[in-house]
Amino acid sequence: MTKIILALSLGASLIFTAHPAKAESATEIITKVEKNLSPPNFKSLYQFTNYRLDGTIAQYDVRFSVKDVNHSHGYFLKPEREKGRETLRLKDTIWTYMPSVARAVRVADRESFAGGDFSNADVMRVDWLAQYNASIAKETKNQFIIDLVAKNSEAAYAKMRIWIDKTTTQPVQQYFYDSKGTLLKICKYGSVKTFGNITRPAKLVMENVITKLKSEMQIIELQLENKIPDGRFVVDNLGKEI
Amino acid sequence: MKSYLRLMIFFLSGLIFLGGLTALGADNSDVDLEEAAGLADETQMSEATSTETTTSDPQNSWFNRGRTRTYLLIDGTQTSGSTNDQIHFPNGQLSFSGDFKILNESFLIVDAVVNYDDKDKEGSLFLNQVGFRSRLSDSAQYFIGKERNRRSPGLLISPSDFIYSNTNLPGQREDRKGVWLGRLSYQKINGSIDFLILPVQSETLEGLPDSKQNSNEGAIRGLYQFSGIDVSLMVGRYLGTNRAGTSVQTLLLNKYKMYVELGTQEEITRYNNTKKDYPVQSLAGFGYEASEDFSVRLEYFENGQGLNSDEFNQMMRLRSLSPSQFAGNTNLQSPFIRQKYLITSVTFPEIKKKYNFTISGIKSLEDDSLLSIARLEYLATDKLLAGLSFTKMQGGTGSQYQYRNFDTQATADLKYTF
Repeated sequence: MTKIILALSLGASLIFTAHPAKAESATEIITKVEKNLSPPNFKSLYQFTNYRLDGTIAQYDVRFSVKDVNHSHGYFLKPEREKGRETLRLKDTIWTYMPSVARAVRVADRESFAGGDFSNADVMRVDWLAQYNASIAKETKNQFIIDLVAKNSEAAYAKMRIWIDKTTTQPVQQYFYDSKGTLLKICKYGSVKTFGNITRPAKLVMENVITKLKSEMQIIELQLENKIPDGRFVVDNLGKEI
Repeated sequence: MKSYLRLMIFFLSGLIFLGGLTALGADNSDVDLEEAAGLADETQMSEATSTETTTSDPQNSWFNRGRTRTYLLIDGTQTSGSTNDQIHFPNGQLSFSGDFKILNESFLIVDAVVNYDDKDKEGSLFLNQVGFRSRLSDSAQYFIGKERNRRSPGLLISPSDFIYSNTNLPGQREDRKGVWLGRLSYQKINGSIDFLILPVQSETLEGLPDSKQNSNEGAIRGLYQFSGIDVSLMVGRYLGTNRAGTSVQTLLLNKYKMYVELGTQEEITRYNNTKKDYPVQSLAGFGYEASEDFSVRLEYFENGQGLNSDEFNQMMRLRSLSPSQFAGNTNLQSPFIRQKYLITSVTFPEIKKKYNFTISGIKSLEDDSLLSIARLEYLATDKLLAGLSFTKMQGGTGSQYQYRNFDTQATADLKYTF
């Protein structure tokens, strides 16, 4: 009898241990990535480097104040000739402030950010799940490869494909496609750092496949848990310190 | 024989399958389903467990500093046309603007320029903005001083905004001329309302309040944003007349900018001292901004304050009889003295990441007059920008530019920002 009970217990334990753990869905994985890439209430200093075909570079330092994915504000510190320029994202709308004429102008979402290969959406709005449906294209030994397909034509890209490390849930690489399936840009992530209670890549390199141009975005400084006053996200306060 | 047949069917079905995929426009992304390496030497996954921790001291970091912007501009201008060719060089402008935190929620602002004009061989100081701003609560703010805050959509002219109505023509020097006011604002993210006291109607050459003022003026100004549509409204009394303006703006599909502005005032006084009651100015604009290589704007401006054909022809007859009577009339130097205009602008930003190019035009729909302005900027270094502007005024006899000051004007400028 004891042998039978032992055999049943062993069998049962084998059955239970052999049952695989519940796999994470693409949406759950992307949610984790977004949480690190775009936490609420932070201030940061980003450095953008645009590499030109003639070998010269253009560098932009922008300080960001971010309330959430729908509310962010950028202030240009460098280059000096762009000093004082501002960008404000309010949900689906983007405003830019031109210090030369002290004027706020509403602009389209698709314009490149700071003349580089990152778009406004790439920099100021990492809320992919709001605009894209996520599905796992392939699961390799070390990475999830996830497709993000636009829910409608208002998304910046028709499709994105992102490679995510299984162990750390950090993005490794991202492809951006248009509606014809043409690969437009490739973003490579690196230099993973910890800022407060988040860990994320601090360096992103975006290569424009069409133009062969390349831009780099590096996080110089990032402060979490900053309560940013709502006044920072008011159009009439563009051009003003808060 | 059977095996040949099977091979052929296999081969053909393969071709059909591949051809079908191509015909259906299947993307080539499925070939990219291998593991990615990320950035070399920096994103190896083993490194992610020993990440670098970045901290900063919020009290001493750049977050809490104020902001300043200073530049020195030197330019030279050549005009040619109705008078002898004239060259003026060097002209200069030194500008400083700052916004400094002086207490927890209080700021001091200043924006001043020193100009040097080769034509008059003298320098002058002008105060664009100055004042004190403080936050009373999360939603309330006040300001006392001279301020500029323009957000109306019109490219060169904004009928809806009777306070910040400067016409910014491309290729001209920066224009940030503010207005003396007291402002109490209630601000939320999706909208704001300003209660303005406007005590200054005339200024000295330095931009300071003149000695005689009518202080019983003010305005209410609001902006509300909902579902991607921005609506602004402004009513008040300024420069001796009651005024009102409104604008609506949206960006369809995040590509096509569309806007309408309307503005009116109690009365205007024209060149011959006749008055016109409640003339309406309206502006309808369309823009395409989806491309990263260029943007286009097209506006139709109906200027109710301008001269209709009969009035214009009468003015031109008087002007031909007595040119000296009109010589100093600044109203007639505006590009918008008649009633119907097309305004257009095409911008090519960061061409090869080194050049900006803009071409703009103002075309009268009532005669053959055309003002066109082209500007090329070379982004020489982080601090230095070199610009070339070319302005051309065209218009035959009987057009608004018949008595133009010049045919062409070329300006070369260097701007060093620090």
